[in-house]
Amino acid sequence: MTDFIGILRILKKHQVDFFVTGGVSAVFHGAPITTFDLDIVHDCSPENVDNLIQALRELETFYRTRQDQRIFPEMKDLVGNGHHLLMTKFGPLDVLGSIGRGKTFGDLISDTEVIDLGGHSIHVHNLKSLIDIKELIGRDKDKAVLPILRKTLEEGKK
Amino acid sequence: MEGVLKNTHCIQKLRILSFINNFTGSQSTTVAMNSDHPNIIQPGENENISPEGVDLTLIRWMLSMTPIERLRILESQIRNIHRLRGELDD
Repeated sequence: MTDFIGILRILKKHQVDFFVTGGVSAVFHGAPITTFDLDIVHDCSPENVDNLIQALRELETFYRTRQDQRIFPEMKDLVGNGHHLLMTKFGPLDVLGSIGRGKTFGDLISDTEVIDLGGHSIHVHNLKSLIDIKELIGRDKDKAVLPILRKTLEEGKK
Repeated sequence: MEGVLKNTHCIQKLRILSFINNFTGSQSTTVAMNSDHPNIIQPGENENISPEGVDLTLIRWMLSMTPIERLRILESQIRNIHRLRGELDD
């Protein structure tokens, strides 16, 4: 069962510093697109990764890239800039140490907006910055969704 | 659980129909049966579709909701897709 709000609540409960990016952030801003995973960029400091690990434990996380084994992400990996494609009890979660061309939490936190999610304040990547990053990456799947994101940004300003 | 899903699906459908009716000024959902109706979209002639093919009515519908409602819609879509795939696999 997919419950993105359930994942976000547990991350907040453990005081993890992160922001939501990717398709779910676009949906938060009103883009009519569908995505199956929640992408977050986390602060890679050891203190924050410690909190993240507590949250990932509660979420019963394992790498979805290894179907044959249930491997839990380790501290030494989560403090790096890599991407962790995980499965949780509430659905797929991508934990990203960086996005675009090596942009980290510290580089991008000023490009986020705070959204109230039932009493929890969640940092969400703003649409302009998300578009810039998707243009920079230029993968086919990013290019396909760019017209919708640009129009959502335009309509949202009206 | 099934009842909750059905209820969510019905609410979502009603919201879509309500939005379309408000947006187009239509009082009936049967207008699509009449090909002469002014609300029927002709290819390449609709101001609600951008030149790139983006349906602006869907964006305006999403923008009419709160962020948490938008996320609930997404979650509901994922559930419906999984359910449909499961039914097709059976």
